[in-house]
Amino acid sequence: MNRDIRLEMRYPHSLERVWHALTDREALALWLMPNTFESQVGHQFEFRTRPALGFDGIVRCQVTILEPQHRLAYTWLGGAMNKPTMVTWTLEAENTSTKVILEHTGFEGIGGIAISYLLGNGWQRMLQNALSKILE
Amino acid sequence: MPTSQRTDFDLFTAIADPTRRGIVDLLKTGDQSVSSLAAPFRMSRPAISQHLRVLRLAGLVTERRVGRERHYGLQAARLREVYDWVQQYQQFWTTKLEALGTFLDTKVQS
Repeated sequence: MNRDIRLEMRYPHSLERVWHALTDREALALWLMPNTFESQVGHQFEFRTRPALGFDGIVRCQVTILEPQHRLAYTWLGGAMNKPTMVTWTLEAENTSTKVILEHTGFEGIGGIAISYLLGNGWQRMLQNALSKILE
Repeated sequence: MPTSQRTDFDLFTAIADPTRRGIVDLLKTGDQSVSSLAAPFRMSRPAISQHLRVLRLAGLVTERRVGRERHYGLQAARLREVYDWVQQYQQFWTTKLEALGTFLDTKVQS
């Protein structure tokens, strides 16, 4: 079973426009989270949001790949993780639209082990049963 | 760090250890004593007790006395919280990609 997160979306907008939304600090703040991003490989930055379960609201990141209008990657260290994970954005032009592939990989930290464990061990059904019992 | 976060951290720490995951797996079939839990691991009872302590502090197992022995049982509801955390991450990105779409659409109009 693939334990990484991989999501794919198509937006009816140009590659340039989507790339800007992914790499502009103000734009990112509007749709993702307030941040200190800069378009520079090696730049260390943070996302900040409200704390939630297993998550203190601060994500520590570092830009690792920056291929303009094609690929952007940064490390992602937040909540319950003792090692950074990796967030990779890949853009592909499709006629007048842009395909966006988001991958969140490298879940090998504390949360990652828990994730692999839970997803890979038939726990899902068991936990759902457990919840049903609680709700009954 | 707030107490709840500390507890969450303990939860993930507890589950990160292979022996403790093995213990949790064994407890899926029902409550067990320390000696029956220790048998498959080739570990001393004190070593298993130490692992059980971590699991208990994380709220994953409960302890009760049966005669002279201590028996341990799984708190499945607590594991459910870990599962929810995983689901939240997947949900987080799904929501954000939708927000990106809305952001892009709005920008065209302005």
